[in-house]
Amino acid sequence: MEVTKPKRNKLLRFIFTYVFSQDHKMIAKQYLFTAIFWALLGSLFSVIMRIQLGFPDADVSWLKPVLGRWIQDGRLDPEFYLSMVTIHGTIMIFFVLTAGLSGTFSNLLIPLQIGARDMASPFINMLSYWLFFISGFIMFCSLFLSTGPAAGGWTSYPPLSALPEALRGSGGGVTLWIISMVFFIVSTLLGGLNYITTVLNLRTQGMYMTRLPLTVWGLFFTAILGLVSFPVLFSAMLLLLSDRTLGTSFFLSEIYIGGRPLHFSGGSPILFEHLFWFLGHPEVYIAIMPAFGITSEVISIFSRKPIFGYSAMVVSFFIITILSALVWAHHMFVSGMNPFLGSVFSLTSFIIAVPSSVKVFNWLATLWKGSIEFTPAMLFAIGMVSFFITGGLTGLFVANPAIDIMVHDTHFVVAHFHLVMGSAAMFGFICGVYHWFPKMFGRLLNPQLGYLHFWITFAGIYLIFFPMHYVGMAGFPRRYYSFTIFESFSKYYDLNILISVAAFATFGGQLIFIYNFIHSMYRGKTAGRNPWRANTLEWTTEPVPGHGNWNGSLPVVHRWPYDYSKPGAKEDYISQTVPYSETMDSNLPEDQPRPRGGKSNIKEGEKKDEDF
Amino acid sequence: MKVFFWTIAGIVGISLFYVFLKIIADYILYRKNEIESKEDYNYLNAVLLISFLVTGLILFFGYNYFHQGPFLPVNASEHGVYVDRMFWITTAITGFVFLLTQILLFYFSYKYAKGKSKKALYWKNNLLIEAIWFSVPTVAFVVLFMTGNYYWNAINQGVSEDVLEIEILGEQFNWRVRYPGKDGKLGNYNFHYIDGINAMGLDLRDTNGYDDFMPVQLHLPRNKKVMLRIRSRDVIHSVYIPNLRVKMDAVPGMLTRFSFIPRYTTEEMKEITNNPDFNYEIACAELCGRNHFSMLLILVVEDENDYQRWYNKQIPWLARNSEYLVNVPAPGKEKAKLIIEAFSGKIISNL
Repeated sequence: MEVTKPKRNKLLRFIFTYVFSQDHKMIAKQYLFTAIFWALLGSLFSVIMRIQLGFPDADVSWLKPVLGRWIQDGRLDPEFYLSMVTIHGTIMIFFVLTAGLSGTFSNLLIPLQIGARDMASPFINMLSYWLFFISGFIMFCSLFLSTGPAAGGWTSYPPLSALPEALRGSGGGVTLWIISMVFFIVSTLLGGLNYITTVLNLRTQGMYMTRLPLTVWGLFFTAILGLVSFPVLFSAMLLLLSDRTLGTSFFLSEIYIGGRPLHFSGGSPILFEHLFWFLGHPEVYIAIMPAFGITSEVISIFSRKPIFGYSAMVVSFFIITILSALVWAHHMFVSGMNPFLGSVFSLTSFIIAVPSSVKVFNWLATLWKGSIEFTPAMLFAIGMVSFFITGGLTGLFVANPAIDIMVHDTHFVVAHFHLVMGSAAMFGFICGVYHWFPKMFGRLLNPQLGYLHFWITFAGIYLIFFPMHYVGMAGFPRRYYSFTIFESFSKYYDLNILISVAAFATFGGQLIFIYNFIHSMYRGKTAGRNPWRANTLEWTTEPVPGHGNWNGSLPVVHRWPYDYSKPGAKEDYISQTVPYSETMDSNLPEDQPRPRGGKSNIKEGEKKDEDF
Repeated sequence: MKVFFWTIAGIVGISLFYVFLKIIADYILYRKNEIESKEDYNYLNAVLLISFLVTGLILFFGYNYFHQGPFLPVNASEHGVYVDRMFWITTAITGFVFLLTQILLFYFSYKYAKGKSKKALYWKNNLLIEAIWFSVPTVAFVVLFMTGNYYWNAINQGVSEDVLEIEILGEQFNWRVRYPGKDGKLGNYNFHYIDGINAMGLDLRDTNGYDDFMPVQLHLPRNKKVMLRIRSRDVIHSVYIPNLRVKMDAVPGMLTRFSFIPRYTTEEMKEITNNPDFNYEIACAELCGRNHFSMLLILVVEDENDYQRWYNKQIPWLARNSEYLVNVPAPGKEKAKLIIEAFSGKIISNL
């Protein structure tokens, strides 16, 4: 760790070790803790939503001590309900599944798995976290506004989000929401730049791009995608801010509200929808691609088998990255957009399902004839695949404009995306936490509690989101405070209760994880160097590596990361650092050393510990 | 049905509870005595995975089998047939893939759990297999797309001559409708003219609008092509009629359209759905604010005669609000006066 300094600097040392640290591992932990905080808060909000939807007639005065004046006459305020919808979405998508997932694992794994001492720019990395922190702090503050936080949905379509007359939360709430988003975008861009640069430039000797673990591939493409799409959201936020404060008409036109016509003319809310979804759709892949990577890695390790179709996996990542920027308007089939555009975006949306299916088939093929160890991480990886299949297949319904007419903006869509990019990405996240906890804290999470956590969460999520498809098929629109007013939608009283109860239980199950996490951090079983018998470079460091990661010189890579159960090898794994010359018994014809194709910017002689 | 479910749920619940107790007990013992757990968790988890699959499949098929009533709302429009057919085609294909992949996933997890099989197979790739699972989904998805696109184009085909145009306007938190009068033409809309009484922004410079009327319910004749001209005067709304498979956003500053043909009258639907309280309901599907969940408008579909009878009883907005005559510009004054006079008797008799 840090060099011991005189005692009077204890506070400073604490601050620079734990707060303003430039060590990528510490920043990863900071991201993780922040994400866990937000995930708990976000799911708590969904519990409030489920109380309302499951029991629309119940008296909720007992929530008054917490929610105060948002409870009136024993009822939840409808606008507060909408705030919960909005903030739940924003928190979960941006703070947990973007910053939390990418932030934690890009920071932790990219340098460790490519054999670098730290990120390309540790300072920008630190800056990226603290901008994210500020963004979250602003969002948190907005919860306590007297007019309530933003309530126009995470999509924040104007005019609803632009006019305080339309919705009280669109006053100060949306102003803070926009500012928070702006900070968030800057944070994501700085982070993404750093990840890309690091992967391209700081790979250790022998770590060709073709030898990168799939986690790094996933995080790499995620960063690229973020870099391409987040600036568009940034522009949308600026234009929205300008409409709200400077009186411009980018998104507003012909509005009569609050008893008077407004001066806006010539703008179009559809333009905002295009700008928003140009980020909004890649965003779901930004959430799921790191989970793809983590899952591929974990499934391979615990099946004790090489990942099937490594290059197909990478090609799939590539295709997804390209195509995900070309599908955004499938969120707008019934927005009044030209039907021909609907056809075009429908086609691209169907095609993007191909690389996703290839990934699923590859995971199945990896499991086939494996020797599977069910660690909690492996269970969560299997759960992730299961959710991804279930949610991905309903994607074929909503990609089709002819069906979308019926299911657009209903709970069918809610069920679809919660499974495919919410729960699946979340499971990827949790899977990663179980798997790399030893690298972060040098201790193992307790597996028994992990099993409990997995089974409660897995069964719970299916009980929440599978029945929700039926509610959506009956036509129940999303973001509805109550279904009792419409005869058409009140068919599934019982299913809604089931969903709510399952949601409460699932939320309760997460407390097991929190307990396990905190307990194991201090008193868990010590892990040792390589608790999972895995090949990648992070397991060649000390159990808890200091700043700089490797003592002495950087490891040299000689092979791809998935040599598990290779016939003829002594062990069922061969670390990436083991040269082929040491494993003559297990070498295959294609393992013969090739002439150097890749590049390494640092020559071996220069790779001494200068900086650390 | 209930008995079936409670039995399954009971069995599953009790066994899960047992397993949980076992794990917790083991956890406590293990923690207290600082010993390695003897439980074979690998096997336990493998068994749990396969039981999860079996229970899930039983619940899935059981629920669908015993489900009463239709899954989708009963369809009552011409193009809705396409929507539903596409929905069920997709369900059949995805359902098959869903079952296949989930069964493989859980079965492999169970079958190849450590200890039950020998050393894992070193199998990196196979070009043929990978080519197959790149190409088979591609073909399947393109076929799905082409079918869907065929129906999508059919739904969006050009508007024929004989079409009833009706304007529907979303506001927080109401739907308002406007019918053309005897001339069959809707007058212009202009949001500048909106006030408490002229809630739909009727532009009195346009003489076509003098005989437009604005009822509180939407009435439609059966088997006639209807085109909704959809507007919003404040935020984005979305016209959503589940039974007619209609959904189209109402965007301020922009006119959107959706045309459809209702096939059954409200009375007929009461029989078809076996629900004496059935009504066509229009809802809002795009978040529009505090009372988004309560933007209900009742739609009545009648046969041609009933519709004509209802239509003939309607009184133009201008005749009801004759004080707006002062706002009518000079060229249209004559026509406006005629319309007001023609209906003055009706208004009194209505009172």
